Amino acid sequence: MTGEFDGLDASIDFSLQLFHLLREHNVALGTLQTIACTQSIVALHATRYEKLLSIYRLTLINRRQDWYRLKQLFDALLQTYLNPTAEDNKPENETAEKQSLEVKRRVASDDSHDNDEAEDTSESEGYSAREIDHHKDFRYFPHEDYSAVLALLERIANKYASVARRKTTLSHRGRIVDLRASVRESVKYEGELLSWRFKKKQLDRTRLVFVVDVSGSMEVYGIFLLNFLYFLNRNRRLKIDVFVFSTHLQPLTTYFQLKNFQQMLDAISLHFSGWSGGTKIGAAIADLEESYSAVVTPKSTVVIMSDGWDTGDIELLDRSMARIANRAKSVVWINPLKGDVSYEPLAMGMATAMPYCDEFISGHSIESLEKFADMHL
Amino acid sequence: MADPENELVAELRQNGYVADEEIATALYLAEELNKPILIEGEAGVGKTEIAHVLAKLKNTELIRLQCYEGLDFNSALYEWNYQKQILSLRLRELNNDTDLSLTDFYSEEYLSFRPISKALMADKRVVLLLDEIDRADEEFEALLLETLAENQLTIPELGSISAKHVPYIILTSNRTRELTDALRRRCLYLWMEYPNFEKELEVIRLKVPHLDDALAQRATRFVQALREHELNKKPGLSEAVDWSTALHATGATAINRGSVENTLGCLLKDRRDIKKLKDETLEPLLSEINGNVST
Repeated sequence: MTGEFDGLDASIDFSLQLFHLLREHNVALGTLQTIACTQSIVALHATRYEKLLSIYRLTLINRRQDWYRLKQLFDALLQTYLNPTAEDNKPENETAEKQSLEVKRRVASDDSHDNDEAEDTSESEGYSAREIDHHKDFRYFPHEDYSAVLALLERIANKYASVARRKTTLSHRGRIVDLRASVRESVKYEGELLSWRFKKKQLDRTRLVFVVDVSGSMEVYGIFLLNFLYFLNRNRRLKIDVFVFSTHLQPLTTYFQLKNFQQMLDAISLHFSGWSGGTKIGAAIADLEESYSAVVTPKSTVVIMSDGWDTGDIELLDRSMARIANRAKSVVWINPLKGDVSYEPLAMGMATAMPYCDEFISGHSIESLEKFADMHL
Repeated sequence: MADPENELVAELRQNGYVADEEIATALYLAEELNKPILIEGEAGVGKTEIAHVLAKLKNTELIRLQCYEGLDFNSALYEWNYQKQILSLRLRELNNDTDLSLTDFYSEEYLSFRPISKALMADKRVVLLLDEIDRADEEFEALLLETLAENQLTIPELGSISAKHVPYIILTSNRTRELTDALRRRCLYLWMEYPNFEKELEVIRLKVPHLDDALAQRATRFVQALREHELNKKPGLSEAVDWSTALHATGATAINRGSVENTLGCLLKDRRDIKKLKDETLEPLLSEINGNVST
């Protein structure tokens, strides 16, 4: 890609179009950055394409991961800019471009190319699942990254699914010899090992009851959490019950048996009408307590995920939280807003529920979900 | 007329730093636009060195703030000199100076300058290096925003202090933690890769001038090939320079098993990497680089 624009005006005109395009493709671009970019173009009198790209990289992009997107959009725009007649084909071109990006990404992560040119565009940028930021709020992930995030969540969930219990208990039959107990037993016979003692892995009866808010304000987080739970549910050691709510409560546990997550979502949306609606936490918790009382036992940990913005009856919330806290082993509240450093639990619903919660954590990022899993699984 | 950034590349070269056009452009724009530069990249690719060279080039002072977890504004921005305030009060009492007001004790005189305020108050344009900013807490980043964007510092008791001469601010990060968008937006962003063969060879020639040229080439090729392998800690540019220096110091004349094993500690800093290299990868690497040069 060599060549240059006729003059500074053309460079600036092109840049303005690029700003617009970048924003359209969800690259966060502030005014500070666009001003700095324009000033740089003027200061360096940049008309060469390479020079311009270098300035864009310095001023517009503030993460290495975004280079790839910039380069692709830059190339696409340059083509259209230099050859305006091709504009009619733009939408198709773009879709084709997007598809090829997907393919290239896979190639870049799995394969090494001999072709130098191909390496130039795919290898160094490394836009792959490896670059997903564990601390980033789910809200800010662009749609294109969703599959990578989900793949990562799956990996993390599998990690917990394969954690072997270390605690063992005495078994009359079995294949694992308990050497310590056998030796201890042999003391009776003056150290003569007459019989083996066996042990078996102790089953953990951790029971988790998730109550996930999928009202409008929480939808994004809800989806990621459900996904995470779906992957976790493959773990036979855990007993997970899942409910979603917005204005009313809906049990999802049976849907978790479906073979893939999308299938599960489709099935849920057929039967659950409150997706992205308002929030009535109090009613939902009361319902859980009354209609599904069997799942809340002294051995179960109730995990509620909500931002605490309640449009329902606060007194009802107070009463039902008190009852749940009384019955369950512990109550954990996941509030994604807590990921924001300036957040204080002032929303009426949150303030009411807080005293009954044993833990109050954020679940806004991959890292925070991992932390939660560390503590409770 | 030559491009200003190309001139800068040459000037940096004279000061012992091999820069490419992108680095020079970043430095030039930082000066023109009065913007900080955020440099990210793997460890040992020369991020911190840029600040040193810039200070040398501009013939000015380098003020460095090494960030760490728990770094607070008292250590980074400013601190009131409490002892001095108390002593001054006592002295005035002894001298029966009754014309006292609170503002007397909250003036610049009682302020202890820390790196950031020192850089803002300096009498000439200095280089302020905030090294490994990712080690500091997120809250600390928020404290920096005002300085980075406005080149000023607000002290509640005193008001805002604007920079006398806007410092060159360089932030480096090893990406152990994701920096906030607010900080990123206020900076020019420069990503530094491991250098390519030509650049690395040039650096080695520059830093270890007495090393035999053929040996320098082989050493560079060896390091480049080594980076292709799966390692816990890949050797950076600084390790490559150290290793070349070690090769020269030990009088090595070729890259072979003996010379590599003697000096391996300069190149690899991880026990498992060293073991893996010795047991598995060394022989193929040696045949690769020695074969390459001879052809």
